[in-house]
Amino acid sequence: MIEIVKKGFLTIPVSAKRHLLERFGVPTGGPADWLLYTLANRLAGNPDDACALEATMVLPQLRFHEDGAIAVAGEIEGLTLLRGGQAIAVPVNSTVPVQTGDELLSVPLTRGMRAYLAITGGIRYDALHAAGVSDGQMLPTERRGPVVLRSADALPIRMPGDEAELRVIAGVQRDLFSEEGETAFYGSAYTYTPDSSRMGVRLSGPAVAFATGFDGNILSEGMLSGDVQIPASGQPILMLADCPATGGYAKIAHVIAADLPLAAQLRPGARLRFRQTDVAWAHVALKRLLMRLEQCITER
Amino acid sequence: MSGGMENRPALLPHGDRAVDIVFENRISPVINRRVIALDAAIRSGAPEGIVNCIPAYRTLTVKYDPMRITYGQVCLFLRSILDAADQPQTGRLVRIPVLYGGEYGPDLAAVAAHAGLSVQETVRRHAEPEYHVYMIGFQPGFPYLGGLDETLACPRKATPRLRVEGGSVGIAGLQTGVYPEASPGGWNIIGRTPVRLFDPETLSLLSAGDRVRFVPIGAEEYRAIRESGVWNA
Repeated sequence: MIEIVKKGFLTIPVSAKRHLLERFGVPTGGPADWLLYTLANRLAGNPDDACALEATMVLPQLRFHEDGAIAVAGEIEGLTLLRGGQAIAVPVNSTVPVQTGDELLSVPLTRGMRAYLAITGGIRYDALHAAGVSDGQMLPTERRGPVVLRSADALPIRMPGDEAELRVIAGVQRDLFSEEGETAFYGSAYTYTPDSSRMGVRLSGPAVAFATGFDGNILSEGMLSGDVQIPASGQPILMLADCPATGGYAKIAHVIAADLPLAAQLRPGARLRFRQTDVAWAHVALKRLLMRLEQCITER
Repeated sequence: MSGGMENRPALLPHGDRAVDIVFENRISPVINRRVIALDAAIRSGAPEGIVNCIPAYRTLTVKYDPMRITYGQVCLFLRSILDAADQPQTGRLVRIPVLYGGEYGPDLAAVAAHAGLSVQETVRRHAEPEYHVYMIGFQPGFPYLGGLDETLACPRKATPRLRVEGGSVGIAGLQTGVYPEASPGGWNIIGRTPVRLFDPETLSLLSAGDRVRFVPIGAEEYRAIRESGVWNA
């Protein structure tokens, strides 16, 4: 059992377990940044789809009601455990054994937008009732195996600062944009606006123009995280984990799986650019990233 | 668009983890049934690594795990079933009880006035057709229905309501549908169903390809179904 003492800004239990209910209009959900989520689970000795906490901007304050171990993946300085009134500095990106009564103190993330906290065994999860936690909430955990101490010497990707380049594959409606629209999209920097969430990131910059006779509306069709939609305003929206299962705006591009973690770690105000690649390169990039993830973890 | 596409859909990469099967760009029950037949074919047997499908009006989004199957293998498999899955299917018929008008259907009179019909005739025409469920989307359990009597077509409200109650049955343009959950919305609300369209336990009442018929009920029956949760669909 984990107790949420202070929830921080926005803390959500997330799991990469597939519910396969998109056909019924249920958003896919899951971690915004699959990479750090997986890292946290592996450091905690969990299956890759165990339920972990996704913390936005600020790590929540937690109290542990059983012995076990946790792992916090992210870029955070000053991670502190309170044990019997004593403050103990503990490492991020490492397995940290915890005892009943220990408290993890709230601390802001140094860089990046989201950090992940996994507990050995994982949090009990219900995809259809996943919502942000509140102060005082108790989260039941699954039975755990033995604790193995691991650590990551470095994160598999560098946390983005104020600028990032995201690789994309041309979207399914690529032909519905004018040449000027496409030039604007690939040639400009777009600003991440505060009007963004786990559903999608609203960008602002040069408007992306549609081809003659087209207003941007399409017959509703399947939508995925990574899709970049262009509504009538011409301002792109990059869809993230909680995007609706279907949508009716034209998609100019799709951010590749290997760069979605980067997209999920950008903060409002960041400037991003899009660079085109293809499916084959996207899969190479994903394989390389998964290899880096595997190689960055060592047993202590 | 070329007539050939109706027979032979295109395969388009939808990012690096999905392939879209894309039919001709229009709303047609014939095209949609082919989407649904392909969806059924994939669900009844697909190679390891093909994860899930999202059927829509004229597209089927096929999600795959690139660590378990290559893009080429996905396309090869999909091409192999394009012809095989040509059998149109007839979906289940689901009857949805609706209490029309009154406080549950505040826009019924306006829709009737717009159509130049009496309220009774408007209800009769809405409950007459067998609707086709093109897809489920927008929110969990929300059906996109086709088959509305064209005389009932009515533009969206100029000012959307901040809250449309769950179960509300509405008309917007040539579309009719049911809001599973309360949400803001600009559709003309003509009635409400006591039946839940999405429930975390029983999931979605409707699937793409189902057929729907609305059954007018009275206030008593509405309350009884609401309280017992029992309705013979």
